[in-house]
Amino acid sequence: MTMNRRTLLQGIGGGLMAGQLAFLPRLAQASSGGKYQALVCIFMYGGVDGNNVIIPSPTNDAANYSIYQQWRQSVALPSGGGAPLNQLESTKFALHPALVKTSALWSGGELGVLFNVGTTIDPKLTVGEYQSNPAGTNVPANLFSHEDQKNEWKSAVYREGSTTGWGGRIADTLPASGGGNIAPLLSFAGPDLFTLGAVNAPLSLPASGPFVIDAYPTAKYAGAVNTATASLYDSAQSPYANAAIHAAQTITAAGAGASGLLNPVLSGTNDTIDPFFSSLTSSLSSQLWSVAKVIADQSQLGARTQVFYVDIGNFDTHHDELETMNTLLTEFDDAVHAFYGATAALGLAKNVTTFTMSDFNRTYVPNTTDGTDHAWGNHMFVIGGSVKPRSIVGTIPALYAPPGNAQKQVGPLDVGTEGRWIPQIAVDQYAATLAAWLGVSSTNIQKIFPNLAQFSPQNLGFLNPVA
Amino acid sequence: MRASNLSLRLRSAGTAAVISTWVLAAGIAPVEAAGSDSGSTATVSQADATRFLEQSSFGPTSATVAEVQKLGIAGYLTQQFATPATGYKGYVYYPSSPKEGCPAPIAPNCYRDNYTLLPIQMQFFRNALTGSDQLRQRVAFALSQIIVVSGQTVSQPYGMAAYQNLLLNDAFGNFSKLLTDVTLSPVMGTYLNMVNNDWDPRSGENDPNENYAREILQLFSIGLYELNIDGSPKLAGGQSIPTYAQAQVDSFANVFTGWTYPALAGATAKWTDPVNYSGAMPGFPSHHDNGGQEVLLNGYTLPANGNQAKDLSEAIANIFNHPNVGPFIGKQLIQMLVTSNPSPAYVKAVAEAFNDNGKGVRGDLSAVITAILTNSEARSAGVAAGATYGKLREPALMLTSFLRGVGGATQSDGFFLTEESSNMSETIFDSPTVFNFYQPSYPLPDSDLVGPPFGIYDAATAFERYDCAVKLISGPVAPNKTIDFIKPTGTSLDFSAWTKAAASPATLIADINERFFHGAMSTHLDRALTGLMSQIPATDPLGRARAALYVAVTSPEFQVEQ
Repeated sequence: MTMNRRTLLQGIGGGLMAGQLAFLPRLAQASSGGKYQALVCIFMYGGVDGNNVIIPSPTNDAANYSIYQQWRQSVALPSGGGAPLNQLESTKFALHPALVKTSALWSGGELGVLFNVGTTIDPKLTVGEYQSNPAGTNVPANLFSHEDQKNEWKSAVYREGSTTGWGGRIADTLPASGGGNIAPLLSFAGPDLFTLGAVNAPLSLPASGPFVIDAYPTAKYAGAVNTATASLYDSAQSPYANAAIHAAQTITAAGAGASGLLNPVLSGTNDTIDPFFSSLTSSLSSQLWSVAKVIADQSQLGARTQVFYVDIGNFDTHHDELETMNTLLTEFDDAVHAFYGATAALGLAKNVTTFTMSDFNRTYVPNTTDGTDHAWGNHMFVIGGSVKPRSIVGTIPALYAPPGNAQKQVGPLDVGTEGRWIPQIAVDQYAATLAAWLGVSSTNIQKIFPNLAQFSPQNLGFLNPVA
Repeated sequence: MRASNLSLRLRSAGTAAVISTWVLAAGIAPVEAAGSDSGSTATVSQADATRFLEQSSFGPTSATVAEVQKLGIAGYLTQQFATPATGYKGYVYYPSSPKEGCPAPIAPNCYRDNYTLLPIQMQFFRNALTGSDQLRQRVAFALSQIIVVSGQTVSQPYGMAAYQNLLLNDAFGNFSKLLTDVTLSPVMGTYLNMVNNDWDPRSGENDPNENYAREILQLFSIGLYELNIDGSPKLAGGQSIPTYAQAQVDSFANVFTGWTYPALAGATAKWTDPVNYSGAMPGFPSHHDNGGQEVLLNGYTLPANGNQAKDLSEAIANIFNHPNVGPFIGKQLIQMLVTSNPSPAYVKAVAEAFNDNGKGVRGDLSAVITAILTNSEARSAGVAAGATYGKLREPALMLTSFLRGVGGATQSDGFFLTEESSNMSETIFDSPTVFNFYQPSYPLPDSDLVGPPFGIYDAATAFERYDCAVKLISGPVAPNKTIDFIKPTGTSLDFSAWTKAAASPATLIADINERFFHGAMSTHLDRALTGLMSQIPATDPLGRARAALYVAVTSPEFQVEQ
């Protein structure tokens, strides 16, 4: 049984709004009150080596820094001689040398850090339980596989597979904007499981630049050609029984419906935000620039609550970890700092929360090619004016003293001998905290994250509500 | 909800005889694998020959349709299996360092021509448009999306040429040879880090790089779960059964140690050799974990062979003989060639052909391809009309099908097509990750089905399909004059046959139906085209031809190979 999405939106669009008034009182109130809020997900593809994103401070935690160096060997970040580490004020932690501007966000009170977040079902899972049955029902399926761990992070479904993501499921509870033409979830990173809901289709936009179907070039026939093409992507005029044709049609139709409103925004200029991005060239900065353009025009578009999806790739550092991480984290650092600056310039710093996700962390012990392999629990950033200043959530995994030349557990949470951490914070807790901040009701949060009930607290408390 | 919206399917004018032939053909199906007696021309209708070529080539042309009708499907397959690869010839070693390869003063385009995939990508499209080895190319293109390497890591043309030639040459051979050749390819070795992967005899602290070990299992051969022969997961207590655990990844990583680049011409091989993507990686036993005792798949323990080559061949055999390979690889090839959601019976038939080609040989890819393309689920027009059938045309196939379908003197040097495919998120041989441009499991929106190419189909890339059609229709697309490794010709479409037909809108629409929709155009498209033709005067037949082709190839139904 499949739904005709456009018919759904058109046919019960009014009903959807009415239903939401009953279903989601907080958001309905927010709509009438004129408060804008947005979540921005940055997915770091390939599995970012979080163990080098944030490390024990050489100055404030010299003992652990020394242990870090001894374990990480060829991929250890030096405390001197290269680009300096970014000490996070008086904490026991330092950020990667490339994260200069990100560490300035820490000092400004706009950056929070979560340690050892990941795909997990059972909060009490022990190393022994894992080792005795790595495929047990209390363990997420297919740990260390890119495809599966990405999908589990994105869906918050760990053993059954899922055709929806939690971004999409949050968006299912949100109203469209632009007179119903602009989906509540906008992706600038292509179609993606994270963005798929059960009800609302996401809208996936070009990373930058125009968003419009070029006019047919023979002007005197353009009207007739447009009538013909439009009749074919309109499922009311041209109902297709075939599911794939129908899907292709509705995706095009959704784009055509939004193009008139969004193309001027995305291809236009904005003197407030453009200066933050105009010198940057990475794909992530282009995507975040586009997000900033939409946010800048949120009131004209009638948007109240939105979710955005962007990405940065190539973190799969099986070799040459140091060089790759430096390149990619520099792009991340520039783009994220520019984006925060743009939201602040718009007066919306508190209204936008940016957060990171990734496939998995990487092995603490490097392999023989100066790289790191697939691991588990990872460290994440949350950024924005609503982040409680200097938030550190969770605990950096403890390390054992290095063993010399025998292989053994790297720390008490290592499930093997290479440093793969059992997460102590579930994706569900992280995500539910973000969803709650956005205004999703606790009833809906329980539905969106069916596994959340296993974990406590259900709100990690790193965000202040928007006044 | 859909059933009530069922659209009527039209057939082009003059196909009554074709339909009756079809009924006969459908009655015969399923065709036995590679039966040499099914070459009778009477059994292949024009519509089925066209559909067959949608599945087995880069788009039907009048010539290839005639050829399939003449030879019959079995005869055509036999001919195609014997046709050698057009391939990527003349790409020779070039220094891996741009500083060495493009010394100052840097010649214009030196970097582009020697350190980006552009020359190979352009040749991919030229080969696809004109090569006589259509089936080989189509299967190799499918394999390139299952056993992926990417220009993200290996961006030198001669390297990618070597890898694609490997896939083309092995496309109809034995899967065991393919798996061995891929494993020893220095291109794959670079992409997934098997090259220079060292057993660490010094301390034992560091494990070998696990990248290739994991992906050869997960992506290139058996997948994550034990499968029944029909592709469905085996269950134990309601749970899927993993095919391997981290311990097996560790074991294969140990076995896959001690291989480096082929020595450069005139040089003596050493550990480690400089980058060279030509040939197969040589082994260095002193850097190989000779200890054996590795527990591989299905509980098999590798003996202490003391022989690096033997360790490798036994490890490959251990993978190749896993019962998952047939359903796992077979299903993905079906998805790449025919339909995204094959029935379990279809997967089973193809997996059985993998397991035994009828002569007791396992892994014969020509038997697998034959089973895929002759199965009743591929050939039956009735099945194809079903609501769950077909697959979204990925960008490259949409483009080549359009150009080959227009036919005549239509030609391209491949530059524009490379750019446009890239704009639609399919940069040839340059997948973002080893997981291809899209995943086999990507959900088809609004359904319980999968629609893998929908992983790169969204409003933005859907719009690109219209935009590139506009540029092609209003072309010719001018040549990029900076290209000097071939004579740049740009891309131009020959509308002459279509312009001739356009004197009669009904004839034009029937011709479009026959070529681009194997006679199964919907009433919606027929109505839209008929209405459009009434707006363009008969005095402008070229205007009619262009507009009709534009609307047809941008229609939702042309985006789907059905």
